[in-house]
Amino acid sequence: MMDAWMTFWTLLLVTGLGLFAVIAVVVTVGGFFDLKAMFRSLADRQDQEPDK
Amino acid sequence: MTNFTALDWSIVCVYLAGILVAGLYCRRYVKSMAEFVVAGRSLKSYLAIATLVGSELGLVTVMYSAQKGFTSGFSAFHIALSACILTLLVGLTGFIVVPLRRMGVMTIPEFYERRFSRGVRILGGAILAVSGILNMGMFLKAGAIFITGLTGMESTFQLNLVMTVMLGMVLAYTMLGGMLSVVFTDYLQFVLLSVGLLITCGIAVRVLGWDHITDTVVTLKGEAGVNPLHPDGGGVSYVIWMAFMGLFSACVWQTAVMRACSAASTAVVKRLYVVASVGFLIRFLIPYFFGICALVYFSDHETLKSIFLAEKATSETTMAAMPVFLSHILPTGLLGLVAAGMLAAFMSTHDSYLLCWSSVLTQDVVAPCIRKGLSTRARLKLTRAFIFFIGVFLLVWSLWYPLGQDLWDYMAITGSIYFAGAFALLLLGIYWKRASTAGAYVALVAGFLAVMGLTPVKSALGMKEVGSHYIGLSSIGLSIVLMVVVSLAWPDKRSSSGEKETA
Repeated sequence: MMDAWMTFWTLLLVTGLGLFAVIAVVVTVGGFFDLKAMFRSLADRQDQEPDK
Repeated sequence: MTNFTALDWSIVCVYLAGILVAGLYCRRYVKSMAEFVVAGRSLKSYLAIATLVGSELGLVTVMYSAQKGFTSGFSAFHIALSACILTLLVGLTGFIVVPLRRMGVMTIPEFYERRFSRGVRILGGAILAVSGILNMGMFLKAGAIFITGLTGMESTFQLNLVMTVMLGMVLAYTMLGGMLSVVFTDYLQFVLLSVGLLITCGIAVRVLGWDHITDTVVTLKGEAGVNPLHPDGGGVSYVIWMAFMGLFSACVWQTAVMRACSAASTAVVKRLYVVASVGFLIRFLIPYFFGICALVYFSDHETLKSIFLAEKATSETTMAAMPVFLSHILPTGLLGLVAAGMLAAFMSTHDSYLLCWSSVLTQDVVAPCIRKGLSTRARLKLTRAFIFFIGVFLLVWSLWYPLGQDLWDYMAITGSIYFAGAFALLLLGIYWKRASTAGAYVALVAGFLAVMGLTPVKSALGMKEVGSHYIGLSSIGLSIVLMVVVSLAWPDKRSSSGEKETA
């Protein structure tokens, strides 16, 4: 029984780390472009709405 | 003996200065409350994921999770698994978060007002803020223990100085830049911490060896170290309690819901939760693993064993296990990078939570009480004032409060003061038409009873032997049952057209 639990947790750890490594790369690159787009859109919004 | 050197300090200082400048840079874009609180609802998928994981993968998360791994072994992994599965289900179904985003609310109490009444919003907002502020009450203590363990710093003066400077930096950029600063810094933190955590995992396995890790845990903890259903490993009731925590962290906890409300569309909300489910898995799994590795490492070293594995080791001692372990196995340079990432994580969680609770107090407690309403300028000023006062409270609370339980269990029970009632209101308010205002009031009050799960309160009530998770589960059940019963007994009055009449 203990071996079954151990195998299960090992698989979970390996799968989790693998998935996270992939997501970390994708989100880092995609997030950079999202960040640029967000600041551009906020700057555009500011140009259209001057300070009150 | 720590490997932390002047080079590591330089890395930490340069990184933190960069983060501060980045946070302050965002100030120029803040003109409205929506930009301050939900970044103008402009977050796209990748950035939303980075910021959701960034704010939830804080230093405190790493500290309490590592402590859980240290005290429970592999059986603690069930908490990570529940968090992942339930976050994934929320993402696939849009449970609670999609209706909230569709309504365009900024906070959960705002939903209370739209669905029930202004009074429910004020009461719910106050309970949420109390719960949230108590929940982050141990953040500074955890941060202090981390720094002490990692750097080997022994002078109390130095330690207090570092913590005060860090709190000052967080207060500065959160007060000035709001959610935009938070998003920006969360992203930077996500990048650094992802790399740091993955590399540290590899080093830990290389130093200790996988077989040695598993064998030692089984030797030290027995079946309870791998089987969460074993009574000494938590037991069935604890597993159920943690499953609720996983669900609530994803779709009821205000800081997570704020990210959903900041998303550009409901499709982004769903995608955000599906991908973030892996982040929710990892944010627990990796720190548990560090805690387990610390346990194994200390069991091999007599001096460390006599401190950390002593029968009477306090909660503060077991919390220090992970940073001490890292300071022993990581090389100089990498230690600085990990420290910088962790400290940035500390600030990132702090800024998210400070912003969250202060905006709840402004938007949901103070503003609804003022008949004339509050201008945007007044709301921003008030929110910034709350950020400052909460910061001062946290400093005092972390020095004064006697923890007396695992940090994670403290976090779970303080969270449930809000969760229990809020879950009933969200679940029944969104999915059951007959949920009434009277039922909502009663559910909120019943949920607040979870405060009895805190160790000092349990001691005062003579309930020291009752597990906090039983109290938490009971308050959740009671909130739901009472809300249903009271809603049926005292339904809202409706006009002839079927619309609910408002007071």
